[in-house]
Amino acid sequence: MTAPRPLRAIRAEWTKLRTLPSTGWLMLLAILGTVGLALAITGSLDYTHCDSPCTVDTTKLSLAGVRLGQVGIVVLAVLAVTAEYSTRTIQPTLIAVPHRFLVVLGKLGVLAMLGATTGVLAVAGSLAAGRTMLPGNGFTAAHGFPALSLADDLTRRAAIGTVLYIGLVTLLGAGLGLLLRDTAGAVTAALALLYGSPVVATFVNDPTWQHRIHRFSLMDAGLTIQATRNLAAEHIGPWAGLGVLSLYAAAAVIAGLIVFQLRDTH
Amino acid sequence: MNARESFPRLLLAEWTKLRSVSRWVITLIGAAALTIGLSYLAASGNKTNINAHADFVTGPHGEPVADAFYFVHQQVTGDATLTVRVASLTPVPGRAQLNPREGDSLVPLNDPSPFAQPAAGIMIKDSTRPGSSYASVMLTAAQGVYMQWDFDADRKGSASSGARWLRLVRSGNAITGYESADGAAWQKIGTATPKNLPSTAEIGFYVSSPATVYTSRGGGSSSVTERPTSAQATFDNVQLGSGGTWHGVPVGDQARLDEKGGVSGGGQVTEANGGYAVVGTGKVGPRPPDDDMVEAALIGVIAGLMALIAIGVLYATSEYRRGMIRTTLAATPRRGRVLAAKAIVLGTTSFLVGLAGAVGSFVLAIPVLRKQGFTPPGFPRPSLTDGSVLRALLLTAAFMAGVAVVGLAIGVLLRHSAAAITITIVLVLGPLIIGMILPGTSPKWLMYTTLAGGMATQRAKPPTITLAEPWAMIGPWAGIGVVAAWAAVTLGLAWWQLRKRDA
Amino acid sequence: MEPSIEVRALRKRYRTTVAVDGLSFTVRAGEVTGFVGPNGAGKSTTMRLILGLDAPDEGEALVNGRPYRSLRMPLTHVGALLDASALHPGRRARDHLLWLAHSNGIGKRRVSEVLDQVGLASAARRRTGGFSLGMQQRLGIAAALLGDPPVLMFDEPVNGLDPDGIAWIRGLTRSLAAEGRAILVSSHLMGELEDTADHLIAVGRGRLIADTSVAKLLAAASKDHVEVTTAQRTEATTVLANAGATLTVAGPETVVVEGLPGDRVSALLTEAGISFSELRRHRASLEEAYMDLTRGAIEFAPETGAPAVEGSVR
Repeated sequence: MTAPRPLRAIRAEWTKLRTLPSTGWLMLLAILGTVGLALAITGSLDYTHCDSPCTVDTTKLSLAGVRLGQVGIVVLAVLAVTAEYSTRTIQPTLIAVPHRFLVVLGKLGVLAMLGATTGVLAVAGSLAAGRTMLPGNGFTAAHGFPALSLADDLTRRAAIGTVLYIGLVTLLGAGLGLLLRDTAGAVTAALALLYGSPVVATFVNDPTWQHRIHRFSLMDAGLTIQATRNLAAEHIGPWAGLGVLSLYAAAAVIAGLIVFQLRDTH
Repeated sequence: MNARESFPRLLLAEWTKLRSVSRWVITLIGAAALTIGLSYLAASGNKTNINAHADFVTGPHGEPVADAFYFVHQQVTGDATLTVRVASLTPVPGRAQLNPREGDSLVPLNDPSPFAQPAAGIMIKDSTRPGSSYASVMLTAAQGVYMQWDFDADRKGSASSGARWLRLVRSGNAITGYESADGAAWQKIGTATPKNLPSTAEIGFYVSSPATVYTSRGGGSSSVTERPTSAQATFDNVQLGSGGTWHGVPVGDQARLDEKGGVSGGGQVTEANGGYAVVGTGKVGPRPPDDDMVEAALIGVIAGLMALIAIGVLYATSEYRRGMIRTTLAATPRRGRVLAAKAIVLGTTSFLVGLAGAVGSFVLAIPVLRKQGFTPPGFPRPSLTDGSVLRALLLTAAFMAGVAVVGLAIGVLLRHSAAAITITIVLVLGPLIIGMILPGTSPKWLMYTTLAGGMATQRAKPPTITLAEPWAMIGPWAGIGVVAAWAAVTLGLAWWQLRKRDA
Repeated sequence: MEPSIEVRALRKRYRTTVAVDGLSFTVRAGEVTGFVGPNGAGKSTTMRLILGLDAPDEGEALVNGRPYRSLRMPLTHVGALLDASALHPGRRARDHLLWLAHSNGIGKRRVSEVLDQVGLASAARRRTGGFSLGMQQRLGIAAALLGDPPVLMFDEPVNGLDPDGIAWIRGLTRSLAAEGRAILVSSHLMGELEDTADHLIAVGRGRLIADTSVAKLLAAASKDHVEVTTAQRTEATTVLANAGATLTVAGPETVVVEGLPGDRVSALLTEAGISFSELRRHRASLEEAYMDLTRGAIEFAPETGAPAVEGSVR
């Protein structure tokens, strides 16, 4: 009669998130933030202002909006976990699903799904923005810039990679929430991890160090997959970059899971 | 109770609230520790080898200078007076023109310094060795007449742009510069005592024309390109007490300029009709490296800032949890005063934490940077008593305090910790990330309008667009001004809403 | 098997304080078991341990013979109301029950049923942020009833309720017990359990003080107590005291006599020629009985010597 426990846990977590108005707003914020910045960037690019030969990576620039838009989904993920502690609904949650691993599984499953959905919509919107804005600014096929298309292998890789990136930062946010249990602490930590290292990298002028920071900072490494031109200049390979991000996300989730299993629920 | 009497008590009450939450006290201490720790660790990520560059020239005070021009000179011993009339000064349509496509992607650096102007003038100089002591009087292309000496000192003369009579008088070690419209009525510009001027020195007339600096930035990096320019000037009525022979010589590393499309041989002189037509290229003036050692020592501020933002927001939002605000407002019904007290307590605390972090970072990171090549002459040793260093440290602390207060105000406005923290952090970091992607000078408006502009407070050097970091485009006072404006506006909104809304 | 809660030698320490110290008891089906003790006696901790929210340091708690964490559909075994304010203020009442229902494979129809049962049907679409304490309590009870469980645990269910609400909860508790469920209701006020509880588990400082039926407890507390109503109170007091009774003045014409059976009191008074209008067996209130039990077991009571319970245990 009833579904298996993992599915029930996922369904419960989905109902929980679906019934909060903030979930929809934060997803919308993430999508609009991403697409909005994509419009602003692609709209301000101008072929006549480009070097010759023009090496602008239009795919990468069109997708650059996730750097801003991800904030919405990361905060959504952190809140999905920490709000359970601040409102103390963690109590009914664990009374209903005493198996803690299932609670985490349900939460992460739903968040990954929401993250991926947000990612797909944000990426689709960004690419559409690029397709609309770029030809008008001189980035035409005649100049060596065919319209952005998923038929292009590298663009497709960038698009899929960006969706995965958003899914992974969502999991990272949830993991930090589990680990810290405190909204303020987890939001600050997540944003500091994402944005801190690129800013530090600009302070640092030693190329070796810059290289290291770009390789091992979540955002720079994870978004390397957006590059479609001049790949040799990147600090890390596209999939390796996502791998670095996955390691961070996995570390946060596993540490969070261990803490969640061991600690009492006060 | 008299309201004026009670405000200090209100401050004390808010201070007690802040210090009695041990988590916050730990975070505050942590903010300073994080600032210092990250600054110290990241300092080793900076390296420079500017002092090892072959073309690196140091001036008489040991500072990095540019010293390249075309000099028509002769030796003179003891007191002397040189008078010339600069009949004309025109830029030479260069071979170094950018092609139009390049011209669009590169942004020319507009340096307002009087040392960065094409100039024709007269000079007395220790020797033709680059970097040696000198004093000169010159007509610049767009800024009138100047007297300059030893690469960093100048006196402004008239704003004349046409033909001009110039005179240098040496009397012992003192050099006095004069100018005149007609060669009869002379106006004194100034008197200088160059550091090392032997009794036998080189005197003559010269033309310089600094290279145009183009920058290209965006995508997280920046590059700087120099394109040499040259100028031609005509000198007549050349009068020197002793009538020796004039020799034209390019001073400085002209071969390098030649390579890049500059004037062949670094310039030339031709004599005609009792006058001299001189073509010259190069710059005479200060040439500090772009990197800012003080800024590099304060990397950790970004980390401490995050912690302070969290404290600022929680200091506001924690009041709304469990209805504590009702207790607070019952104790002090005048809500604006509560907000003022909170802002003052938080601002002062954050300022002190920020100052401890900044000074600690400076003290620990500077020795590391010195090991990494940040040494004189390129980078004179910064001291806590230098005006620019003090300014950077104090304004950085003020920046951190201001951002914490913005966090407080946004916390009062939104009453939601996560939203307030996110918005405040994004206001600081978002524009930096976007600013690094956006090309050219376009991030400047982001720096003038968002909290990110406050990062400019960490710089001890003047604004520049030659660096990748977008906040370097605006000055430190503009930066702290942006933060102060944000604090004022958000506090105003918070005050207004606090009065209007029910607790 | 019979629905039940069994607690065996449970012990839980939080940093320096021992919250539960070797507690054992059983909650049986068809009864309302009152769980009493002063604030901080370990009642809520015991309930958290039963529900697997916290892990015990020693001992075990079984629900229907199994540890709570091993239950596959726990809401159909135990319904619990612990902290009624544990609600997300942005979520609607109905949705709060809906996610709980989904987590245990319970149908939507049951959500509407329990909302009707607790009288929240009209507020089902409202966000819980605007709920009063009483409405939160009703929603919490709805959540506990969601799985139609044979075992129910209510932690301080009448806290913050108005008299109507208190009467409603009493009625509900009685009728749930009458259906054969095992019910554990905690309270720090004994009076609240009067007329509700059949059985009583009293704790103090994390230890068991009493595990007894309410009838027995009241009988024990009322034993040898006779209440005399007489106009000659002073004379009556003298006579009875001389006969070895302990006397408490309970009113201008009322004396409670302890230590003498009723017929002996009657005979002594008649013998002395003291007229009395009423002589009846005194029935102790649950409150009095409880005070007897917990005297000295109250953690923050002013120190007036060695706690009686500690002494009696030794």
